[in-house]
Amino acid sequence: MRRNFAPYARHLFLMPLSLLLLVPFYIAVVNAFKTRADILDNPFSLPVLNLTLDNFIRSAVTPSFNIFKAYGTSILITSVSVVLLVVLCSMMSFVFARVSNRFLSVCYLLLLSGLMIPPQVILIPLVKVLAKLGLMFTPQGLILYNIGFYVPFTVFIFVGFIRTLSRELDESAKIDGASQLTIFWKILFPLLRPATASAVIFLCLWIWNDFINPVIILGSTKSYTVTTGIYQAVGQYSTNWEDVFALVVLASAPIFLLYLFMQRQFIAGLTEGSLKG
Amino acid sequence: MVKNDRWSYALMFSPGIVIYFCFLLIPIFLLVYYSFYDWDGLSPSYSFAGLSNYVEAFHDKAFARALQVTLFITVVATLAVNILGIAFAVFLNQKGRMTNFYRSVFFFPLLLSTVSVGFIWKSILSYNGLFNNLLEQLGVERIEFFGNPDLAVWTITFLAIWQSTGFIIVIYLAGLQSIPGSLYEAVKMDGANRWQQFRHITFPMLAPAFTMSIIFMFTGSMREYDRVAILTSGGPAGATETIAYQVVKVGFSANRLSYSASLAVYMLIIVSLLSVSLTVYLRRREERLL
Repeated sequence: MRRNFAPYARHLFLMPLSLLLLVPFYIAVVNAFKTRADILDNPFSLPVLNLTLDNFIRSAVTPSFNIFKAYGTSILITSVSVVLLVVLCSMMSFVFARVSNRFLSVCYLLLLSGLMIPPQVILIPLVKVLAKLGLMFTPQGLILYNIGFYVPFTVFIFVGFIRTLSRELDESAKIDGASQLTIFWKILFPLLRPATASAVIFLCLWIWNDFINPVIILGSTKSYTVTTGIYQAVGQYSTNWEDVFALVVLASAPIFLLYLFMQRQFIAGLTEGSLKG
Repeated sequence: MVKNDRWSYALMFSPGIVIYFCFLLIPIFLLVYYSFYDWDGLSPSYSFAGLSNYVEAFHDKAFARALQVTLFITVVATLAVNILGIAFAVFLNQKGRMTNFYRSVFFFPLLLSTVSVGFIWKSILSYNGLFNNLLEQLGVERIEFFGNPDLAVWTITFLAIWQSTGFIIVIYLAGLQSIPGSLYEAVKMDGANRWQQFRHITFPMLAPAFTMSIIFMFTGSMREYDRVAILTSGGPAGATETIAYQVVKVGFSANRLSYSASLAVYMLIIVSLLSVSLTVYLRRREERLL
């Protein structure tokens, strides 16, 4: 009797937890398609009868906010930051893993200590640095900050992985007269794929979802990311829940779609890579 | 080293380290420098103030309260998420039809921004939100999830737990799958029951996943900012201000740049000391157990 029951017992714990995790998203999605009166009357029902797209039409593009512009800014900032981080940090990590001298050990220590710095701590002086360079309120400023801030994490992931690869690989190529730069890009970099995948997924999520840094660095007027854009847009509506739900759905849709198609890569990248690092 | 190689290495190494120095290390040095002056952030001149900012911050009741709130959220959220994470991972670690479904569901909350998730919860839990409307229809009094100082801290803590538990479950699952089954065979022969198996094999063998999950939750909660900004703006009456929230608030809205720099230095010291000791302790624990 007990043996037959056991495989189902775990669902008694896991199902309620799944519901608790999913219900807020369910509420956001179904209510985004309802009128306000309908939300107040029956907040949990599916919007079968009075389905409306008005909330989306009204809140996607307003005089002060345009979701498509926000997507554009977020895609630009995330992709440029992540590509540059992967290119620069994988090369740096190769040097850290293959060469040892005092200068590099000091640099490595300085990098690792950067892992612990909370972003809010450096915002105040960073604003002064960016202002001096004329990069305040520009996407370039935010991209440079993102790179500086995530160098420690990215190097940490890559160094751990490169150290597990045999040196014989690069030495055999060296006999053919290739420079270290070519050896790295032609032979080593393709082998780093698991580490690259982990780094890319983490960095994309963090940079795409980032809130306080774009709020401060991009300021409130000229450009905004998806996150800071909906923050400012919702600020105006405050308690018009139907608009808030529509904005949240619009803001989350890109990540949700990506996750739908790449679940396995997401989960593998976020768990395996980080455990090894 | 061949001369040619040196150039190659320098070329590969310098761009990254230069950006790191300019946008992370130099700001840290500037932060420390500002904290010894009396600059409001705007006026052209300012003068040396010695340790006075630090002395003032040390006696600042609001900062002490923010530190208390931050430590409360950190300790409760870190413990709760790890206990729940291990328990649910053990449940999930049997091959079953739904395992992949659960795994995908658990992961999901962490993927979305704290801002989006925060707004959803705000619409549900705030005074005129969906949950309170429901309570009223049922004839129950509305609950001040964000309006009552104590409850507001608990609500933020609950939401921190809610958003991270799924991710930590998946971390522990990966850890569980790396435990060789042969270890269990041996103790089963000795007649160990399920709890004994967990205590003597599962939990010790999870040490690397434990280290990672604790550090992840600890560092994340110590810099708690987004949820506070979205849900309560630090209120009511500063009851939910965390140290990260206060550093930004004082630095950018109160025009007391030097003073907020000294708060930031305190925060940096507290966070670094605690993270380093926690990491060292957990790494030693790993070595002892594995």
